Amino acid sequence: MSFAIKALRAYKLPMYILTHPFDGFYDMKYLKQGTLRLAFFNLLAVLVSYAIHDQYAGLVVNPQNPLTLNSLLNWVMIVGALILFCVSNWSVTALTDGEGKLKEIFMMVCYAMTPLVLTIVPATILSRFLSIEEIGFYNMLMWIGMAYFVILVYAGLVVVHNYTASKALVTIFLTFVALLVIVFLITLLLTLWQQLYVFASSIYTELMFR
Amino acid sequence: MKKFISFLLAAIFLIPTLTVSADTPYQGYTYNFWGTLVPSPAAYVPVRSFGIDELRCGTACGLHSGNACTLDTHIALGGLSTPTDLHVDSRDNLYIVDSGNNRIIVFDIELNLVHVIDGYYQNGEWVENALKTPGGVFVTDDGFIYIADEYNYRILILDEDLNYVRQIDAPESDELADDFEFLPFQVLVDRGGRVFAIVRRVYEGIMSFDMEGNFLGYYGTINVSVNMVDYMWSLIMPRRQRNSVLPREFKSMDIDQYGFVFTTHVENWHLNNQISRLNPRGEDVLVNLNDNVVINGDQGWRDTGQLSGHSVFSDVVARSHGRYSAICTIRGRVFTYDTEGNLLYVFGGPGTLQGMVNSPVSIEVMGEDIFVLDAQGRGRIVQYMPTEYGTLINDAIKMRYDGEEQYAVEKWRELVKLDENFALAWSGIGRSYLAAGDNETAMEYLSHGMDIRYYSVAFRRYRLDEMQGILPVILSGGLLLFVALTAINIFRKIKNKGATAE
Repeated sequence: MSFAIKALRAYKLPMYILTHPFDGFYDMKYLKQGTLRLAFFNLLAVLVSYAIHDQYAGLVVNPQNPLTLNSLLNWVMIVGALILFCVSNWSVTALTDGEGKLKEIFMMVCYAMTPLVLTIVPATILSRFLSIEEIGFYNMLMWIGMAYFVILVYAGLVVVHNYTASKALVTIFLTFVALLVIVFLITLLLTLWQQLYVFASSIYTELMFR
Repeated sequence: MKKFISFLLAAIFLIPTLTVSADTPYQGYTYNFWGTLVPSPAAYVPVRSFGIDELRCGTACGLHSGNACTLDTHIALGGLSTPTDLHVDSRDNLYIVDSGNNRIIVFDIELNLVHVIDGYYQNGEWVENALKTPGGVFVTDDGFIYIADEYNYRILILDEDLNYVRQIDAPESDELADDFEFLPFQVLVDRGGRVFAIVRRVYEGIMSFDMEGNFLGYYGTINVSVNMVDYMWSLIMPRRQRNSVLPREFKSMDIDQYGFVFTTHVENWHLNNQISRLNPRGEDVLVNLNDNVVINGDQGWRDTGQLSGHSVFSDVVARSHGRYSAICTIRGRVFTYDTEGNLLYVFGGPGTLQGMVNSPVSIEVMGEDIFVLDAQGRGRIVQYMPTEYGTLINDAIKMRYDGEEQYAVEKWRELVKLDENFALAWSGIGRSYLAAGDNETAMEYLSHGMDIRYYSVAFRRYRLDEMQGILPVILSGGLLLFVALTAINIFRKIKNKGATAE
């Protein structure tokens, strides 16, 4: 019981960020409020919400093929995208006088996910009571969550890096460029690695047949 | 849902042992809601695969023809040479356009030779070798034979005794270019006597003529729309390449019982329908109720190598009750759709085995049997007959089309026994439950059939029923609570008043 109260008390910061994004992220960065553990908890909550959504959302909004539904794969994709975004944002902002550390960027994005935590599960429950004509309500809820998330990330970037609004926009654009570069490099690396592997394995087979 | 999935899986593995063994050289399949290929029993089996030179000559042999059939056993017809078209007339005669040999061969329903049309009678005189690479043939209900006589630059019209009636020559119109060559290779006559011709190198549409042969204009023209990507590309294309980008090119056509014209056409992009159904004004009115699925055959294919690429329909045949079948020239498969655009069954395949085809050019239907003309080599005609499974689908679809869903349900139930993957059957049963008012069962069946639209209807009714059950409880409970609260409030106020009074 005391643990639950503790957890709720710790969750105060994400809720505060929800209503006061700039103040909230300021507290996070400069007053050292919030913990990495809490950020991970928030991330996990989002992942679980998505899994619940894919599994239980009504047929009308969620015509999933149960044979190919793989929540773990979705998790890997979400976490991968998150890591990619954090790393590329950090590498861009490190060059453009951003003050944020990688840890702060990560915590900021995770805290900004609170709207998703708050909307996905209710939308899932709602979708079970909706027919095709009323899908709009479900879509609206999902979109509000997503839009609020994006707005919070933007506000968070401004605060964490101590940027002006326009500079934050520019760095977001550069972040996506860096993201593409990283993906390109990863693909390149994989291809090269595979060629190296083929080379080594063919040498091995040659030697074995000697 | 999980149960259903395991059921499905079991069905996939058990079907080959459950169905009546029908020896087909191909595996029947269909696509499920998610576009995944799932096996199904064969809906049609090949019963006959014959070349013209293998047929026996019957009694009606050589009735009107000037030559060819003089032997009464094996005919000295020889093989076909680049045949292009099959046609079945209202008396179930089978017309084969043997383009390379400049003739049209006509068989009756028992495959006895009726005619070899390579000429016609004019004023009682037989005109020999009158055709030059004919491309298509059409026979009207009153027996007139329309021949697209391609390299004679005309559409030839004969009566049923092969007497010359008239011909339609190259139209004279300001719309046409000076070097215009009239090369019709497909011909069709609608109920009003209008003659439609698909003409080579004419991209404006299908040419239409009135009964006297006057050019009326283009039919089935499409609105050319340019999207952003195409426009960007066209900016950097060399002029020659830009000029070679063509709009829709019609390949073949067929007329259904209502006088609507089905056509197949080449599409540059595989995400468009390859079949259209043109109303008498030439507008495409093909119905497809499936979201995200277009009518173009296979939904998955290899990109390179043999038998690769998306399906290309070389011919379409309109069948009764709104159904239509089209043949894919790449993989030799026949795709049949119903009037709502649902894929009913796929059969046939590429190869040289009996019942397989290599370069199918034309498809026709006689009763429920399907004939496919294979142009390879000396030319073959493959006749497919519906199996028990195929007959069930055909019957059920006919009943649904006639609005007799209550009789169709029995067929759907039997179909589900034969093939659990057949979504239409599940939704068919579901719809009947919906009509009967059993919304909960309907929801279950409709969700098995992934019929979201009807599921939603069933769900809404179910929800309404449930709400009507629960609402009185909630409302009366709320009312009671309200009354109780007000009572307490009033009681308190009175008490307080009493207290202040004291």
